[in-house]
Amino acid sequence: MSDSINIEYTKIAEIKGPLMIVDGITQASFDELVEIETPDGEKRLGRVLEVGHGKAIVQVFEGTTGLAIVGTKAKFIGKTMQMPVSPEVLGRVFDGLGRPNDGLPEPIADKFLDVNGEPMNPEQREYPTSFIQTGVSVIDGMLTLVRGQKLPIFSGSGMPHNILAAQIARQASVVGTKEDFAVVFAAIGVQYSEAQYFKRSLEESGALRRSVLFLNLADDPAIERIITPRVALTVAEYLAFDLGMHVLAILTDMTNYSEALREISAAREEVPGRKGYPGYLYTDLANIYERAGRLKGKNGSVTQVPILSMPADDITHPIPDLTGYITEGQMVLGRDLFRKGIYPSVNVLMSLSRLMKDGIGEGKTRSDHSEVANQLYDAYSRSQEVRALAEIVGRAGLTGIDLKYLDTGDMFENNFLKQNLDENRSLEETLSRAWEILSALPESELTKIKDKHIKQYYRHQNQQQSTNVGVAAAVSSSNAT
Amino acid sequence: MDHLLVRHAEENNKLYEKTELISYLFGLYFILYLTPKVKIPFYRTFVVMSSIVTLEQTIDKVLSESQIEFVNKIDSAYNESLNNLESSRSNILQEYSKIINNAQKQSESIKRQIIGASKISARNKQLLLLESAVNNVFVKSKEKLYVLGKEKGYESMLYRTLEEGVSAIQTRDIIIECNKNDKNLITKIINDFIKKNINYKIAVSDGFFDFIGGIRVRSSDGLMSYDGTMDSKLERVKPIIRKNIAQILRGEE
Amino acid sequence: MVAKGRIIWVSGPAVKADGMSTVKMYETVEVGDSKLVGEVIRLTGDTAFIQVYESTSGLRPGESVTGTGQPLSVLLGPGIIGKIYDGIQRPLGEIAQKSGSYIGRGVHTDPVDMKKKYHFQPLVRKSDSVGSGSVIGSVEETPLLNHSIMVPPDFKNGTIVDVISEGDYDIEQVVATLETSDGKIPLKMYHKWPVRKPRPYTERYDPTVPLITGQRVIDTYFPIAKGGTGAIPGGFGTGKTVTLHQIAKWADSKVVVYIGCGERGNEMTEVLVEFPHLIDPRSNRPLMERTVLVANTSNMPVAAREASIYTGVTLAEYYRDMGLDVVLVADSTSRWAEALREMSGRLEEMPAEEGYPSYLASRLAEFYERAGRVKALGSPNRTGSVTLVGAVSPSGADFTEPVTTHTIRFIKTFWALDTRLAYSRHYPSINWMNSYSGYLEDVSKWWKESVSSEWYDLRAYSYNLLQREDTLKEIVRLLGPESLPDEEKLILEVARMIKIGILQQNSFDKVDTYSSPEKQLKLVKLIVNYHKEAQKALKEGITLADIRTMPIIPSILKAKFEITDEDIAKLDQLDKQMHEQFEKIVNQGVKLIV
Repeated sequence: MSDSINIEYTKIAEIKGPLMIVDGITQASFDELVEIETPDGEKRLGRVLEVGHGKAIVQVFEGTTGLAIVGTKAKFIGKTMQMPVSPEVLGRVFDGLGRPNDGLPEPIADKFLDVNGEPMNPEQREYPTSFIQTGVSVIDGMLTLVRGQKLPIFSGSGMPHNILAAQIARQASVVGTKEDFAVVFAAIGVQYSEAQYFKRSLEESGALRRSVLFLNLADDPAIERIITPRVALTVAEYLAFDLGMHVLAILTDMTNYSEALREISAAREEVPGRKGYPGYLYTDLANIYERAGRLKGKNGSVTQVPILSMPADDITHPIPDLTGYITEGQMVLGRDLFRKGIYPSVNVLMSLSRLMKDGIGEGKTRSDHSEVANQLYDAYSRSQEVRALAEIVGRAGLTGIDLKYLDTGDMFENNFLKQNLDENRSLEETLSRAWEILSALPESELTKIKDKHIKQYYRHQNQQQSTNVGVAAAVSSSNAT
Repeated sequence: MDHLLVRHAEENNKLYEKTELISYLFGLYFILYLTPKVKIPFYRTFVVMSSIVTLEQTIDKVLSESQIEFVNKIDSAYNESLNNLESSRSNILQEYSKIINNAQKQSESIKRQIIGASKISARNKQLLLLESAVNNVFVKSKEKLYVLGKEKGYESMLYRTLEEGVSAIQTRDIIIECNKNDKNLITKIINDFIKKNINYKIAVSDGFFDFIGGIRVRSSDGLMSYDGTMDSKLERVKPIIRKNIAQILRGEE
Repeated sequence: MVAKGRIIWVSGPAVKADGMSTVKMYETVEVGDSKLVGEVIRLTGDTAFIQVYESTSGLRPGESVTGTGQPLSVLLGPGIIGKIYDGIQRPLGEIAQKSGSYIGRGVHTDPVDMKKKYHFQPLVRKSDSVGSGSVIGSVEETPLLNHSIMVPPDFKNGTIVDVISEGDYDIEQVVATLETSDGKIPLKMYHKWPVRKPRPYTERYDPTVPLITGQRVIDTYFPIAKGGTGAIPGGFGTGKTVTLHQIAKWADSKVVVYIGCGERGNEMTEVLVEFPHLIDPRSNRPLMERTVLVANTSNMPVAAREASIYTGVTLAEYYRDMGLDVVLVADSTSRWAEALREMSGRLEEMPAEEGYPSYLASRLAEFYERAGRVKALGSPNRTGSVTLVGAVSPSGADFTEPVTTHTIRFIKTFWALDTRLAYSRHYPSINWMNSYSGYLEDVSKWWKESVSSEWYDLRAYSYNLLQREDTLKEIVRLLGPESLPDEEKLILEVARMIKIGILQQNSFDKVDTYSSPEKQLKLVKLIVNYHKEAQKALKEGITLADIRTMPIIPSILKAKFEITDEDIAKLDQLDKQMHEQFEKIVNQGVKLIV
């Protein structure tokens, strides 16, 4: 594609939805950037989605409102969309298309990078194994995040996903190094207040100068959202692989992104897949999420925490469903826990970190970490079963061991899961809290933990405590009946 | 047994002044109260009658019991108050250190915030200065180009631009737009072009445009145009030139 | 004549070109100035529809399209094992050398090292008559694998007129010359084969030998046979990939082809990082020496994803023809089906269910039909097999969606992964009530002869307990556990032991990751014996509480990871201890009653 070609067309055949069809095309290429001038002289940007037979279908990022068949000019730039990058992007705020939004000039570019990126060669990837301490017990203990992982937060409307993401961004540290994370934050169709909360949180922790913000707010053009995560990740890749930084990329909210994609697909009259989303939603999302990782011979890493709100809290909805198939696990926020006032309201049973196994254990965290996590999952899952059973048959219908599990569930929620917004727990503390909960169960129940670790960490209850537990159980059971 | 003892006591009361005994006992009571842990066989010296011995024993027993009780109570009260003191002291210490910690945390965070913010604003001012310097360079270069750009190479460049434009828009009916100064030169170039390429209808636009130089090639129906102006070329390379200018201004090169 | 046309339309991976009247269906073509690889998938007049295997960003109408005269083929010869290929057999390691960390476009490299020398040992002599597919020599490809050099299956029978002597040669060397009715044909160490055409064989056998995977729930409860087909459907997070990795690691096959089809990049990296360090328990050599990877991750071009399945299965058939057992795992066939759907959509074909093309079922059938245990072509007699295991990723974990329902029709072993089990961290989350194996009877003979005559009965006994637990659980859900008689409570207890002690298997634990058939059998036997003893004890009047709190139970449940395959005799000791403990509590209990 030669850079010198610079042709302007004024024959617009059709405008529908976010699309504009330009006719009489002699020179245009697939994916090319288009500068559009409205009859009023306003400039907009677009991208070629399909070209051939003398026509080009152009997707207009700022929407087609105000465009007309007569008087609209489309200039084909001869290159794909690019983002200027340099170390100066740190501490800056951009709009959803990567243009300055903070009253400062466009960064003086070191490089211009194609916002679509290129697929990483799997052979060149470095397998992620470095533990990231977030200071949040449920993450460090049971959903360990590692550098180069993509671990989304599945949330629902009104739940504190942004607060959790901000806490992760403030507290995340690579154990054993003094390195701080650079934060790339992409707001995709979120409310002003949410973006502002995040910005303030970074400001207060002094992290703003190692952060880059991309803001497409709820009242910004919807089609721009197609580009927002792409420019953000382009910058993240640059910081990570050109400048050697460890980057935490937070993308919120991917549901808004997918809806923009659906809008375009509908305008193109494509055969829809589930719930009207295009059949290529999986591939499209993968092109975003797969831009996380580490590369051989490069120091930095891109760790992604995309956030998406599940429509009607439905995890089988195509957006969370396809996301879960691409990402390396998920943190699911639970409505029940949220109502109980527990923060962070992570439903651990539905959550998972696929790369956890390689980021923990001897030499990385502690040798008992994985067994403890497994046993906690097991114990909490049984406590939930017992809880459901107790609702039907009452506490009186439960066996002694069931009652113990019931208490374990409460302990888990109150002493392990729940923590303050500014509470930064060490891994030792997290594991110690875990053992405290497990020690409330008889030793013989700990079938997932090797005997040597039980010997080392299991806390035998003294008489006093165990009778107290017994009394408490008896009292509450009499209350229940 | 209790009833018997009571009756004995009632009988004995008749032998001694009731009030005297009571007041005496109260006196002892107070002495006992004031001198804990000291046990004095106080009334034994007065008492001679055997029936009184039983009473004596009873009182003795009651008193010694209450004595122990009192001692214990005092001990525990004392310990309790000590504990209270201790715990409130540690509470105070905790609160104190919490306040100190919070204040420290806050001051840490404010410090970080201030340092962060000032670093950013300093950097931003620098960026603005740099930008205005770069723009300045651009404006001046444009002025110079307008004057100096029309040297030998200019004509052949215009010719090449015309060729590119014609091939790009793929029509034979063409209008050329240019600035006022270039009109004669353009007319000459068009003639050259038509000599080599027959079947083209090329005209110079009536209006003039304020480009620095170069031409815009437009199809006569106005549906397509090829921008070969120096302005647009400059605009395309601007990001790259900006970097170079910035490097020179910063003294990096 | 080679076709030469021009692009007239571009939309994503789909390109239309005219002037293509001489091009053939499924011919590979070079598209555009940067010579992207594409394949013709429809012809209308002189217009060809092309799916392009690389990103088409920047491609413009007017650029040229050139035919190659060849269908999409793979190169078959020594040097394949240990490699990682993309969907059209381009080696990703070599691509990295040319284009760095990211996959560049229009990069052309040989699939194998053409210069590497192998020690060739001829196995035919001059004037031997050989048929197509016959072995003419062998080279050591890896210390684990002797690679037979064969006459390509599409060659005619003929006579060897020349053969090279034993020695070190690169694979371009002509090692023998075959004279057929078509004249003299030079034979090299490699040949090419079109991926969409199954390689022929002489005869197909019934699969009767189990593929031992070391995974208890698979081998003991839902076995798959060598040459069989199996599918693993499951929602995200249910452990499809881990289960497939486990099969790829521990299956007792000679060659493993792992296709990462539209899945995560890091998963392929994991295999690449892990396999060279993992030691095959049977040969004591690194697993990478028997593995080949075909990786077309989710962010790589979607058309190459469609091709990757065929590339993989052709490689598998090639090693099968040497008389080897090959396992092919494909993760995930749903992503492959989506690639079909996307191309079909771009071609504006009439969609069937959920937008999938109407030929989805027949394509799936064609793929699974390439599994089998066969007698290879030519001489000497060789029996090899290709076992196909495909993951299915149903949207919303809904098993009634088209890819799952069609797949079920063509496979014989079904491992249903269960989201609920995964949520409670029961891994592998294979649901024992919904899964099935059509090979159970076929492989029972092998177990009887190779492991123990008790296998079939023990399996049935323990599986029966699980089935009874399933019905009892319904009652418990309504009335609470205390409503059951002791004997039925015991079933719940023993079923829990089977779940923890046998079905759950931790693939990240050094010991638990692989269980030999002997160990599997002994573990089942241990718990079955426990149930029998406990039943007896209940009849003797011992309370369930006493049975439940026997100190031996944690040891039984932890035996799977505390006792290694080398110390397998310890399981017999454990069995003995258990009997003794029962004897003890029965005696004590009886004394108390007296």
